[in-house]
Amino acid sequence: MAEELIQVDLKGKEGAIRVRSKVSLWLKRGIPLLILAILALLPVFQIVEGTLNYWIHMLMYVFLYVIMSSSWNIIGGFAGYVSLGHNVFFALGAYFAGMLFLATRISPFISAPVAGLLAMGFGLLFGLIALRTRGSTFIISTIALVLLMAELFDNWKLTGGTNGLALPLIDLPGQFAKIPYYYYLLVVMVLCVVASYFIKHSKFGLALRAISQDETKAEVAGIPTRKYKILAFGLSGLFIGVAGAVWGSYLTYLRPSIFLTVSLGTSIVLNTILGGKGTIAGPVVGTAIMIAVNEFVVAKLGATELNIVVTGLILIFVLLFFPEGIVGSLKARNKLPSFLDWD
Amino acid sequence: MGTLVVENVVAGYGSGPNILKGLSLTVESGKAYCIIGPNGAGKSTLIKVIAGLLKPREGKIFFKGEDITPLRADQVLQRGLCYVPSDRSLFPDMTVKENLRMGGFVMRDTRKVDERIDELFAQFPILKEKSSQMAKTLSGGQQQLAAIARAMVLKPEMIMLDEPSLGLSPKVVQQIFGTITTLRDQGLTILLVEQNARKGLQIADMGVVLDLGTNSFEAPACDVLNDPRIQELYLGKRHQAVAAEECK
Repeated sequence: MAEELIQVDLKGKEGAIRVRSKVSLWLKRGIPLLILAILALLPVFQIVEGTLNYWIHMLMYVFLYVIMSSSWNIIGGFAGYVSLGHNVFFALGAYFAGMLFLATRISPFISAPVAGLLAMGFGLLFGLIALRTRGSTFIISTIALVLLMAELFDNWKLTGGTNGLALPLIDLPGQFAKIPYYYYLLVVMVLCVVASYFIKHSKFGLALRAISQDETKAEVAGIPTRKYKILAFGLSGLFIGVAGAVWGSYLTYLRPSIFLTVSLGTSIVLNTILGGKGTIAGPVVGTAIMIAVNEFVVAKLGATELNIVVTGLILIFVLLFFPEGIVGSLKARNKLPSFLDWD
Repeated sequence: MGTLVVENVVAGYGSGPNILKGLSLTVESGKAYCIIGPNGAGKSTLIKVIAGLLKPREGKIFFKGEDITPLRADQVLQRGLCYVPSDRSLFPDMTVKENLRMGGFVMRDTRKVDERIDELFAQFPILKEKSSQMAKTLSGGQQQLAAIARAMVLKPEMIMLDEPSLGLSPKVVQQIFGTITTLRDQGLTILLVEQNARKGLQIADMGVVLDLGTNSFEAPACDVLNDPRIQELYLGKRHQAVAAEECK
């Protein structure tokens, strides 16, 4: 009798645990999917109501930066090679698609994937040279790349020099004009984050993580470190190039001072570090927080540049208490809410 | 003809002096060798040269009849000759399982690697228990076990261990040496470098004494252990009686 009772009790307990794990699994997948569904449906409200243009613009801004941070994470987070020049891919994508449009009227929506491949090819080439170096030398070489490209685009007639290039507006009423760009960036962002998940969990990703910890050991274990680093650097340019093509067309003007600044390249890195480099959710969380805070301060205090002070302070304080970024440190302490654990 | 033949190897670091000065050594298949010698005799250098981490200035190394002198470290690995460095060389921020996966990185078939890891988990249950913990959270002895298991993923024919007892408590050293003995009994050829000469020689079949870059003495481990010169030099006289007793 007693035994039976115990067994029933045990079954009950096991059942409860099973139910709990089912619920947590549902939350883990459900909340991100719910957010995604809301993001996907938002333009419908814009079409009906027509009052969401500001929100759509802000979200596109977030999508863009998530694409850049998440891509940067492949080489900077997984492999540990900090590049401050990833905005060069952004510029290349934008200029390629823009110039192609002006010359042939091929829509950037069509040429964007090609722009991505071009950016990736450029990344492979640059990686071939720059990834002979490590540590601070590598970082400086990526800053040099940005400065070099800025100089080139500032003075090149073909790209319009400092005046840049003007692109025509999309042929849609203002109420709907942002929507195609919005969906394009949303899809690219999802692809980018999913790709970074699969890269992290592949043998290639394992190798990149080994490289970030100890390159000599990694080499002894049989990893072709140089090949993998170059490949990672190239891959990290792919989605940024695509996003560049779309964003350039959205802005309707391309100028080196928009795309080729060291501060843009740095903010990609800072957003990722704030969220947690090397994690999948980190770039998304970091970017969303940074942009939200920045926008909030600008909206409340106006264009006083106090936003830079505030975001700087946030970065300092977060990294004091979350040295591995928000997602990374919470995970290390086992306090990460399951819906943010995308690893 | 031994499994591993080292022929007149001369080696040193950078532009520094020769550490190994024409060393020759033959390792027979299925036996355990223990290399002893004073600091600076070139014990670790010898292992690094064999593992392909340091190119010899002169001389050749053959493994199973093949000249492996020009090969890279990962190519030597693929030939079935594994190396466990003295710093254990685990990736601290990877889980135990990921570390073992790294051991099988040169294998193309990842499913085979996973099968092999399961076999090793059966052999070393403590590693299975810790499989999802970061390597840096393991104790020294567990890390050493993990490092040995990692080398075993490739099913090597020969394994080289550089100071497996370094920094471990006597009890743990006993366990590690027990593991090494088991591996020897499974037919693995073992080349062991040990500061703890007495312990090393006790589990070895053959003892090799290095002195200033040359092979000064090579004999069955028991004879080395009982050789009065060796006892005086490395073991200390008071161990004499004990050593003779322990050696069958």
